[in-house]
Amino acid sequence: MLFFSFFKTLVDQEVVVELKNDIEIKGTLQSVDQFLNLKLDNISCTDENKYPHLGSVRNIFIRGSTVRYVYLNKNMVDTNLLQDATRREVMTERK
Amino acid sequence: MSPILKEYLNKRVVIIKVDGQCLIASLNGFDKNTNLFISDVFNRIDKEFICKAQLLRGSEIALVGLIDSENDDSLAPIDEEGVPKLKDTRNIIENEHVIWGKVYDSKKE
Repeated sequence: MLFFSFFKTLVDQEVVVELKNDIEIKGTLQSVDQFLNLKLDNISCTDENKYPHLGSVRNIFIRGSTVRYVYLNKNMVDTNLLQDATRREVMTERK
Repeated sequence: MSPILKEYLNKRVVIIKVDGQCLIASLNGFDKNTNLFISDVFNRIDKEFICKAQLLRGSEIALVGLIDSENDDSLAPIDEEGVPKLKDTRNIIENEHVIWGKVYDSKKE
């Protein structure tokens, strides 16, 4: 559940999501759920001419299982803190 | 539950499936596995009517987009030649076993 909480802290930030079918979509993260399904608002494809399928679409729901990467800005995440938290989560699971 | 699709209920949506197919439909229902119940299903590219109602398995779905009702150009034709086909999400490498065979052979030498 750690990354669910992590993504919740990223709500309202602008992210770029790369899907497993190689589409890249930029948008404002609107909400996340436990499966890491993402909802983006105000989207734009990084290569608009290539994929006009989402022409009249502003708001999308992405199924978590088809996400390959979520690109974040460096200042959105404290990597040391996150690393610490992942370790702590593993430790609590072992007990 | 995954209630974040709730805002899309009874609206027109674009659905991109994991096999690269792109649909337009009305979203009538969903569950926590993203199984979707959709109606008035059209193909996004050639606007071909597919069926009146359909249950789409969650594992087949890559993306659902809400069509802006204000500037809805979803029924405007898309130039079929100009549009590259959407890839599937499986990223299968053709003849992968041949590549690994070569790796194996090179290690043996």
